[in-house]
Amino acid sequence: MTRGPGRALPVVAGAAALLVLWQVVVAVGGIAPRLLPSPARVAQQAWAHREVLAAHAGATLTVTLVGFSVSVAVAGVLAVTLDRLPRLRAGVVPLLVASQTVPVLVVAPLLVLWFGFGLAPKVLVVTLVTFFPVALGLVEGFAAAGPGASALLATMGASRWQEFAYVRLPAAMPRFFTALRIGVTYAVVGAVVAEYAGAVHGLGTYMTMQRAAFRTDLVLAAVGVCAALTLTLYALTCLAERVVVPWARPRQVRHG
Amino acid sequence: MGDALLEVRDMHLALPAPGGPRSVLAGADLAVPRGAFTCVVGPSGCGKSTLLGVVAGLRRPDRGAVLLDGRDVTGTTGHAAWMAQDDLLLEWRTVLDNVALGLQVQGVRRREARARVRDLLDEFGLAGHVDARPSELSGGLRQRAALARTVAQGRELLLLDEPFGALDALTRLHLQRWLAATWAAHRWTVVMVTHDVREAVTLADEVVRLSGQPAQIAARYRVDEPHPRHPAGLGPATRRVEQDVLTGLGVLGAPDDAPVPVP
Repeated sequence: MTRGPGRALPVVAGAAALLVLWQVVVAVGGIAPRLLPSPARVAQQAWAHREVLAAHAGATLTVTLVGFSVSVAVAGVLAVTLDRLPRLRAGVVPLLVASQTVPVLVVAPLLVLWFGFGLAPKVLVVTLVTFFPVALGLVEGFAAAGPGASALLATMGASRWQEFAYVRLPAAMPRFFTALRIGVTYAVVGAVVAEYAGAVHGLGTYMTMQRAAFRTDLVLAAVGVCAALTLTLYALTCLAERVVVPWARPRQVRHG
Repeated sequence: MGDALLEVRDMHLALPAPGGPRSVLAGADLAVPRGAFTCVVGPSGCGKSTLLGVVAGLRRPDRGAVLLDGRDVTGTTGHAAWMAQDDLLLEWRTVLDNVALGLQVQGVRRREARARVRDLLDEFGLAGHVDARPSELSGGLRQRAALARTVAQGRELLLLDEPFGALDALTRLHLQRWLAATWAAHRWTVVMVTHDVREAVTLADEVVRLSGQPAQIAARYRVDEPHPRHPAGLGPATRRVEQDVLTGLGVLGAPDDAPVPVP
């Protein structure tokens, strides 16, 4: 994987070109700001409302992180259990897939109805949305170790715990981090959807309010904050991956 | 044999197969003296690896016993160091930590395990690759690292399953010569499965030839030439043993047992 300005340049240039085009279309076409505000106006209004936006972003971030942590913890326990009990695994993995077919937009209001406006329903939504990729990533990761390495550990006289710690857990890490990266992007969206369904704080709530007030610029500003939040969490996950799974990025190959 | 470190007695094993259990081992016997090098050869797929797996304790035989120093270790693990044809190096561990793995499993702390295997890495020509990851090594170096990991466990018995089977011919020759010299200096007790008869007579004190499936011991051949031998410079007596083994396998002259299946 190559990194640095060489790779980022096309992305930045593309985004800048889009923004310029947007600005020009709005200015030349004389489009009303409540229909489509110019990017400059969105940025200016976002800055003017930065304190309110930051407060709501903080609430969304809390829901995201708590929900995602719960998701990873539950997925971890389940995946380790399923790894130990292969027969159970065959029965439970389809259930995990089925959990993904639950339409979150429909379930979220129900959860608010059952659990109120507190943290619980929102955390549940985030967990529901992110649980599947993380659990499946771990289940498949543990299995990725292969029978050979397990046999080797067995001949060494290793206990099941040693085999897990020395082989299955590290073998699962590359897939686990792929799952984490997917999961964390779902997590922010999940949190916003949950807030949309009913909450006092958070970017989802803020968007609902601003849309009702026809402040399209502030809705878009909140969308921008959402995107920034997601990208930041994604980047942090990538960073953690580089630290925890250094072997997945081979250094220069030597021969001898 | 009274002084045998490893004894395999009357080994029988059937494995599940489509159409009912298939007999893989039908009464295999082995006796390996302490400090001896035994090579097991046989037709492709005859059960050589399975026999080694049973000795390592990966499978429990249907009948028969594995005795180590007179102690019954049938179906148990942890008494012998086993190496598969696939080097099975753990990609997330450096060469040093891969070699130290066996000691760690035995409960030795990581620091101490690392310290104890360092000299071995030097001897195995891995001194410059201590902190390399397996993916950074050539095929020959990977096999050396896997061999070092096997030896580092400190077991009296080494079980090597075609350790050089996946290497190119030139690298294999180098490693055979190197192993012959290294083994001669240490005299570990080794049972090695191979399909390479030249390799077998270069390294072994005794070559055991298995019959086709279900495997039995078809013949035993002694190789008396002093160690270390060179695979490209074997003496006439050893060359004759090689001819005998090849004849027995049906590669030269008339086969003396079941025809060799064409792979």
